[in-house]
Formats: sequence, C-alpha cells, structure tokens
Amino acid sequence: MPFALGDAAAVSRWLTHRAAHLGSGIDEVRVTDVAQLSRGVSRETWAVDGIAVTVNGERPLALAVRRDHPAGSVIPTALETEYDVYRLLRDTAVPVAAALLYETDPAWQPDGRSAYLRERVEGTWYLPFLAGDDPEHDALRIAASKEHLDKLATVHAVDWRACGLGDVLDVPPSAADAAAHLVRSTRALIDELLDEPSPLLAEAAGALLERAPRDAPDLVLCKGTNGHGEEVWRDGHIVALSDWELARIGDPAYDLAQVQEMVPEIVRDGRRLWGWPEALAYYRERSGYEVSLERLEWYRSAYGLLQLAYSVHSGAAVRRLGSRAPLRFLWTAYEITHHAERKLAAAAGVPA
Amino acid sequence: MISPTAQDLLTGVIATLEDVLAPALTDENAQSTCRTAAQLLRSAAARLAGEQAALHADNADLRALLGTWTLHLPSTAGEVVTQALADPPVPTLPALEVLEADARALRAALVAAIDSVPERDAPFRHDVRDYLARAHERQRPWLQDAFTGPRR
Repeated sequence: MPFALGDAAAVSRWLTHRAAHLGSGIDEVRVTDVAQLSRGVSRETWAVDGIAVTVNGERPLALAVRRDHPAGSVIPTALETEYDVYRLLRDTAVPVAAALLYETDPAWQPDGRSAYLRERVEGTWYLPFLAGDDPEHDALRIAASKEHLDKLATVHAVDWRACGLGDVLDVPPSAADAAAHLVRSTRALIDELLDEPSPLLAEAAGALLERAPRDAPDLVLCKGTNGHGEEVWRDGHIVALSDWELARIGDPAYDLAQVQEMVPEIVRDGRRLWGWPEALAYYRERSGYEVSLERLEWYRSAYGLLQLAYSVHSGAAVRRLGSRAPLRFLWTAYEITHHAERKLAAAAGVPA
Repeated sequence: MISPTAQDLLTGVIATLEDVLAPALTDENAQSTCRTAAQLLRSAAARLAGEQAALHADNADLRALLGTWTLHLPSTAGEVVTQALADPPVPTLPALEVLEADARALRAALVAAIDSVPERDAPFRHDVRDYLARAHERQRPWLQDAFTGPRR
C-alpha cells in the first residue's frame, strides 16, 4: 500500500522490511526524522535519520532517499543510472556514499514512485574560505584545490570497464572521438526533446564539431558536475563525491571544464601562486593525464549543449503536464534554455 | 524560442499561486492575495489571447455603425464621426499562431540548410550567424532584459 515518504512510521516499516540492505544483523529500524532537503532542483533528496536495532544493541542510521519529482526529473539521466553509478563505485577508491537499495516493488515505493536509498555521509558542502581574496586563506584555498584535483584524478583512474560502468554509461567509440561523440550524442538527445527546430543548435553543433579536439589521452570515468557545492568535506578532505547526474565515459578535460570555484586565481605581489596552469600541472602529476588549456576551453564552450539538454528535457515535461507542471520545471525550460542558448551562441561565434 | 509560450508561463504561475503557495500560507490575507493574483493573471492570459482580435472586430463594428448614421447626425457630430472614420488602420501583423507556424517551417528549413553546408567559413554560414544575432536582439526584452530579479 503506498505510503508517504514524510510519514516516519511508514518509512520505519519500509526500512525494517529492507533491513538486510542496510547492514548485517539489523532486526528493526526506527525512523526519528524524515525531511526533504532544499539543495538541488533536478531530483528530490530526503534525509532519513533513525536507529538500527540489532541483537547487540542500537546504532544511529543516517540515510538519504533520492527520487524524481512527481513530474519526473529535470535532467535526462535515469534515476536508476544514477543509483548504478553509486553502486558500481562502492568497491573502488572513489569516496561516495554507499548505495544500498533501489526500490522497485510497488508495495514498498514511497508515494508509489521509484526511489533509491544511500548512506548519508557526515560533512559539509560549504567552504567559507573560498569566497573573497583574503591572503590569510591562500594556503587553505590552494590545499582545497589540490584535494579536489586529487579526487578527480581518483575518479579518472577507475577501471570503468572492470567495474561495469561501461554497461550503464554511454561509451564513445574511442578517446580521439570523445569530443565529437559528446556533440553528436547530445545534439541527438536535444533534437528528440525539442518541439521546434533550432538553427542555433545546428550552427553551434557544427562549430563545435569543426573544432573538436582529438587528443584526449584516454577514455575515463568522468563525474560531470563537480566542485564547490557538490562534494562533502570533512577536516579538509572530500569524504564523499556527490551529484553524478552528468557522469559519462569521456575525456578528463570534460570534468576539469566543469570544476566549480575550486581553482581560484591567486596573485600576490605580481606573482601568481595558483590558477589554471598550476592546477593542470598538478593534475597531470597526480593523474598522468595531460589536459591542455585549449582542450579545457573547448569543453567549457560545449557546456551550453549539456545545459540545453536538461532545459529542453524540462520543456518536454512542461508540454506533457500542462498546468500541472511544477513552476521550477517551467522556469528551467524558459530562463535556463535562454542561458544555454547564449553559451551556444558564443560557441558558434554568433556576433554579440 | 517559441516554447514555452507566454501563455504557458501564465498558466504555470496561476497554478503555482493557487495549488502551491496559497495552501502553504498561514496568513489568511496572504492566501486571499494569492487567489486575487491568480484571478488577475487568468484575465491577463485571456486578454492576451483575445484582445487584439476583439478590438479589431469591435472597431469594425463601430465603423459600420457610425458609417450607417454619419449623414443622419447633426452636423457637429457628423464632422467628428467623419474624422474618426477617416484613415482606418491597416492590419499589418498576422495572428501569433500563424507567425509561430511560419517560424517553425522557416527554422526547420534553415536547420536543413546549415547541416548541408558544413564549412563554417562559407558565406552562407556567416549570414546565418548574423541572422542569429539579430534573432536574439528581437527577443532580448523578454528573454534577457526582463530577468532582473533574484530567480530563486
């Protein structure tokens, strides 16, 4: 019988039923609090706190439930794909929250919708020292930048073939084709979702293909969205990489181009202490992969395609649902499409 | 961008006011204000959809009425009426739905043309990019300049 995810007693019954997925020896789960988190718009994330009762006593449980909105997801990636990425990374060196369960039994799906359960890792996404230009924080900012680059290198070192990620993520024909494949596959997806022709998309895709780099060193697991606001930090280290919605197999430059705020430009007394040239040199030292500024710039210019893909995906939901479409989907289909188109116009060389 | 349309935006905001915000507010006055706002937006949506055609038909109706009676009115009124009936405005724009259908056909043709000319430096492709810049400028007032506030 469907139950509401906000109903702590009902969630207790669900998790007790699925106790074997939560750890060994758990006889019962008592949920003390369930609350929807406000960060992130593409899917719903709920925090579930409770107590696991075992024969040896009780221990706290901190879990997260992820599911699509009733209207679906803003992004085109399937919920199960997101779960599979977490699941398949569990036995690798990449720090991620452990994925525990993908609930497919209609009798146990909260509110009758698919959902997955994962551990919730203690820490914070917020690094207060990143903002501003206080020289007192230079060392902290550089250390955090290196930590982030270290974790990206760890992601890129995953043997994605061996752990099965090639079965859940699209794989380009070759490393040399990674960039062109990104353009073609994303354009094809957008064309399926759009209900109107887009000359801007055609022009930008053509321009990007013409300039597509062919010197990617390897095909690696890429995280996609990464950086400040996306990862869980504790005591100066990333303890969990979060948000794998744009994960793919591709060029490591794809990830470096999407780093959010974690490569600050620090110049003191005319000398640059840190910036992208230093970060790329550090990344090369840690990963063994060369990423040129030119290849980085190409992937930055291609980001408009990724953004357009999820904004028109929202637009498709708006057309399907009409007045029942959540306002946030309508806003994404409208204002975010505009921002994506501005990026594509720049990539295409449209005069400003 | 044709879709989402202005009507889509109004429909979405009305539903949000009535189904999301009003029920979540505890203050009765605020709830009532939400319902009033939704009511006004419903009227605005209907007015946007029909006002141009209604005004055109209404003006034609008035012209017919006044035209019938001009010569039978006292001279001072007759002069005012004659002046008002002079130089009726010529309709210059097709209906929005007609323009949107035309845009879809033209843009589909342009996409096919772009895909058939892969050389980015071809004169045609240069002209395409110049057109795209002009197209953006035409939509700038509502797609860029109107986004002045915090968005969430």
